[in-house]
Amino acid sequence: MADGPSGAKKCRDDDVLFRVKSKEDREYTLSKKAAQLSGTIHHYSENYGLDNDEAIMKMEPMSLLEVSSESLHHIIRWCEQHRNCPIWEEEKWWQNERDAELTKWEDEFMAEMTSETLYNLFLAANFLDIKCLLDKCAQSVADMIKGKSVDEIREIWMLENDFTPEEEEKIKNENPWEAILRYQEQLEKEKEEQASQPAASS
Amino acid sequence: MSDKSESKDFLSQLPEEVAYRIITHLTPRDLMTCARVSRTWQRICEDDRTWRRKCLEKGYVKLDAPSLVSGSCDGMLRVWDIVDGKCLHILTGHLVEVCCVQFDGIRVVSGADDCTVKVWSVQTGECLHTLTDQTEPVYSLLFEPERDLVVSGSDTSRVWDVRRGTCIATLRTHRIYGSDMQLRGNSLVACYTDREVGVWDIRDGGSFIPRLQDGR
Repeated sequence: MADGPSGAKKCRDDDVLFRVKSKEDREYTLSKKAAQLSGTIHHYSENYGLDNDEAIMKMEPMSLLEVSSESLHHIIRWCEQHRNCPIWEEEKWWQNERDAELTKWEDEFMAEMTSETLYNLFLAANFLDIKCLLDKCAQSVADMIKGKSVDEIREIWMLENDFTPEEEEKIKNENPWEAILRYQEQLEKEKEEQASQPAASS
Repeated sequence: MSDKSESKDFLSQLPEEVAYRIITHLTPRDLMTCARVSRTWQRICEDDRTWRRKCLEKGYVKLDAPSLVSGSCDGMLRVWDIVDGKCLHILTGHLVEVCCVQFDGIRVVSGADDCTVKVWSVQTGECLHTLTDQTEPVYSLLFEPERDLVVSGSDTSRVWDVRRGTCIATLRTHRIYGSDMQLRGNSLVACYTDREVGVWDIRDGGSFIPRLQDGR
C-alpha cells in the first residue's frame, strides 16, 4: 500500500473484519481500520462494545438500511484504500493533503461514477459520516460547476430559471461582492506573479 | 465529466449540509455565477456560512493564533495563546469572582459576582463596556457575536447590545441559573428554577411567551 507507514502495520489487524449489511441484506466485510473511517460505524462500535478484536470477530453484521449494495461496495473500496491516512481535518479542510499516488487513485475512482452512482455514494458517505469521501464527492461535483456560465450550468443540471427578468437584472447589477472580488482577484494575481518570478529565474 | 448531461441537481436535492460542502470547493467567482442560476441555488450560495468559510480559506480575513480566555476567582481574566501556553493579557476590572466567560475570538464577555457584565477587546486587553444595570451576580452568559447580543443569566436576566453597551431587554422575575440558554432569532429559551423552561421574546423588552413545565 502506498499510503502511510504500512511496514509498521501488524498483519493481525487484517484478520479482524467488521461485518456490515446493505439495504438489500447483502453482507460485506471490511478491515477494522477501514471501518473506523466512518463516524457512524465508530459510534456504533462504541455503543455496542466493539472495542476489541474478540468482540468484532463475534459481531453480528451491522445493518446499514440507508446504503445500497452498489454504494456499499464503493464505500468499502474507498475506506480500504484510505485506512492508513492521517485523520481528516474538518476545520481546515483545504489543508488536507494526499500524496500524488492516492490522489490519482481517488480521481480514477471518481471518474468511474455516473451521475446516479455519485449521487447515491454522496448520500451513503453522508449517512456513514466519512469525511474524506464526502469531501472528494463534493469536489467532483464542484468541478462540474467551475468556470461555467449561468446558462451552461442550467443546461447541464436541467434547471429552470425561476427569477423574473427584473430580479435577474437586479442581481446582475447590484452584486455587492463584485467590486470586492475584482479587487481580491487583482491582489491574488499580483501575488502569484511575484511568487512565480524567483521560481522562474532559478 | 461533461457527458453527464442527465445530472441530478446535487445542490438542491442533497441534504443542505452536503450542498454546503460542494460549494466550499467553488471560487468566489463561481459562487457568484451559481447564485444567479435559480432561487434555491441563490439561497445556498449567498448563505453567510459559505462566505465566512470562503473568506477564511482565502485568507481575506485572518484569525490570530488561537487563544483561550479564562476567568478566575480573583476577579481577573487571562488571555492565553494555546499554542505556546503564554499569557497574552490580564484583564482586570471585576471586583470579585468571575463566574462566566464567552469569547468570539475578538471580544470577550465576562459576568461576575460583582453584578456586572464586562466586554473586552482581546487584542488590546482594554475593557470596552461595563454593563451595570444588573443588581445580582451573573451566573451565565450567552453570546451571539453575529448580532452583538449577549444574554446574562441572573435573578433578573438581561439582553444586551454589546457594541453599544446598552440593555435591550429585561426578563423579569425569572431566575436563570443554568448555562443552558438558546437564542433562535428573537426567541430566547432558557431553564429557570429547577425544572421549568421558559421562552421569551427579546424584541419588545423581553416578554414571557409560554410556560413549559415538568421538563416536557
